Amino acid sequence: MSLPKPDKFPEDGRGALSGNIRIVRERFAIRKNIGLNLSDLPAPDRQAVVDFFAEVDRHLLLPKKQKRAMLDDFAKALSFYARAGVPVAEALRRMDPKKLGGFYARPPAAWFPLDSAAKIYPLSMQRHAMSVFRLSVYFKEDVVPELLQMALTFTIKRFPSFATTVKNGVFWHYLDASKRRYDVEPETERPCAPIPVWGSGSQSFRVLYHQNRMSVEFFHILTDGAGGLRFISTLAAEYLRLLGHDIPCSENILDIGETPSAEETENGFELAEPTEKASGFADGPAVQMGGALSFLKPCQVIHFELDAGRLLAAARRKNASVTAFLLSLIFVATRHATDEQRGSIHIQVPVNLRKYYGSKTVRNFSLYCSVKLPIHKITGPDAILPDIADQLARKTARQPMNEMMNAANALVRNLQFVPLFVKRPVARIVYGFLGDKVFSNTLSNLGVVSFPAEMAAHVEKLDFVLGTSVTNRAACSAVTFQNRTVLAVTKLTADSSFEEKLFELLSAEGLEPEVYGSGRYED
Amino acid sequence: MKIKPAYPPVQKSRLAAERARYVLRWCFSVASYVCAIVNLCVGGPAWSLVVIWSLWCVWSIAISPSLVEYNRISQTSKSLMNLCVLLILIDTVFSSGWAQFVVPIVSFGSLIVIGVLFLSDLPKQKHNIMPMVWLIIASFVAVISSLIGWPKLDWPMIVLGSTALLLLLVCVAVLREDLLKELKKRFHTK
Repeated sequence: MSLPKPDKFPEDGRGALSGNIRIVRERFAIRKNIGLNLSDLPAPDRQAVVDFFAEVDRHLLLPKKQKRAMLDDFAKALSFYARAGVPVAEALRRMDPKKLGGFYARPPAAWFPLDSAAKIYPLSMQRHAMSVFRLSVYFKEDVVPELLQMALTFTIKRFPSFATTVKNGVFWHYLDASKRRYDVEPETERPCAPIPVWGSGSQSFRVLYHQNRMSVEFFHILTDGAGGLRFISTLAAEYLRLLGHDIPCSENILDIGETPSAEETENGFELAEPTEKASGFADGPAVQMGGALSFLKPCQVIHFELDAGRLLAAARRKNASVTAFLLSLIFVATRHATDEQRGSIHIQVPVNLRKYYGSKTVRNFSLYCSVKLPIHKITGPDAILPDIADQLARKTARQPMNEMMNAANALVRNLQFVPLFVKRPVARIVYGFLGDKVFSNTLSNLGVVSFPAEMAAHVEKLDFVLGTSVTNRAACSAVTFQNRTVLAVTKLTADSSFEEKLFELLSAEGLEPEVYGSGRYED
Repeated sequence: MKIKPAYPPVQKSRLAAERARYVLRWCFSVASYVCAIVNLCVGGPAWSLVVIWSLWCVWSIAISPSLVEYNRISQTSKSLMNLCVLLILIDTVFSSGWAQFVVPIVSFGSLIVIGVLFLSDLPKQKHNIMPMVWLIIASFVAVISSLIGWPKLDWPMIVLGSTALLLLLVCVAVLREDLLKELKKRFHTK
């Protein structure tokens, strides 16, 4: 089957389209500008398409506008397959309406109280500053938006806590199920820009594409890096399946046909074991990097792409983990980017708690530790590395993390009956002026991500970008896929001292990073 | 260090809109302070309160609306509350007495509008009922207070109470157990 390109289609159905096509157009709203011309198909295929849309239609009990848009998505994908020379039967098999399940046919009923870590995010958000992070998968070929849209349509039902919208409760915000067409968009905004979560039923994440890059930006209220990774991996796998590749499921790639389990949406913080001590939040102020804070957050994103093998070898040479090694460089670069002579630099290191509690939750289940060094002790990476490794080992252990979880739970319990309108202004002050000021920088290392060989063959690399905080001028994040580690730096100041020093340090270690990123959105 | 571009350029209009809001925030803040200071210096009635509240109304409704649940019911409810406060302020500062009569009229008019908004798109708006529920509760409080003796119980207050009761009954009749589910979500403490 071969259909002409959209611009060569007849203007309208009068006479040109058969009765069947008119039925499809009228009943299922396939509009003439989509480029699906059924009159070119042989009769059996035509009937198969008509039956297919009837089946899709049965799975969609959405408001008229949403339903129409989703039917358009199917038609656009079908049109893409036609242009790509994929037989109709194969195209219809790949987009089997059974993949929709009952998700779009049932009214929304589920709702999710926020997990203990997520509660702060809607309280502290501002119109121009939200806690957003981003994960990207770079394919070996450009993204096909039509198929990415279909992949999202099929995948979202597997993540019920993502198919939600933020709502105000009397005491806490919560996530309310929202059955709608979740859309993919071309990338037109700066990375990690605030997500408009205010509209009725609006989504709290966005799926973007640019050339060969597919990105998902998450409002932190939904999930953390590990949960986000599971979502983007499942989405990427489904996208590749729609392209005709056979991708098996794995730890990070969920079976989209499977019913989500309660364990996947649990509040992991409730797994904390009771301890006498509940501590870990309070801390003194940290030295901040110099440079005027930008109004636009973030004002620049820079990626350092490194050879993972060489990075690991460099860390091993110094008898350290990759995280400790990167931290040592970040400490020195941070020291270089401030004029302060006293005080200490604190770097926040998020810790994935799933490894301690065996949880499968896709919601937030991470806390952090603070690695601290007095500014006068930061003389060079090698000099501080043993101290960093020691602090990392002690502070990321299960016991202090459990104590911190108990502290988070206690805080939630103590505030549970305070109305939201009282909490909101207090939380903004606490988050902005205390929570953020106790750190100088962040390093979030997602570690080594692996995909099944069938999928890895189509993926070039991954990257992970943290959104910005309030006063920290930079935040760093890293992820490794195959032989590439991408270290991303999110900037909140036009002062380039930090990234220049980091580049110099990485180069001095023989890592020769490839540097790419965004332009400066604000000078 | 040379940075290879990897992100598409951002539309300048988007950046300009963010900046404009920032500039406006400063303008509104400065105007509020200036009004308060001038009012304090020249004396007389506290007209600056009316100006400041009006500025706040414009800011919160038009320039920086709600960050969560921005929908037609919530915005109408918010506008009504702001307007009522403004009317009470004008009444208190410049003349007295009429607000007791006018505010209930404005309130029941708005309740009718909100009821229409609710019923005209029930599947969607049934998830946005909370601001309406708060208004109904506020109306009952006003009527009960009026029955006790303040403000005066006259026909606008009676109509306000009746409208609120009618709207509540409509809500219960239309939503039934959905109303309880909605309240359970809204009042959760976990």
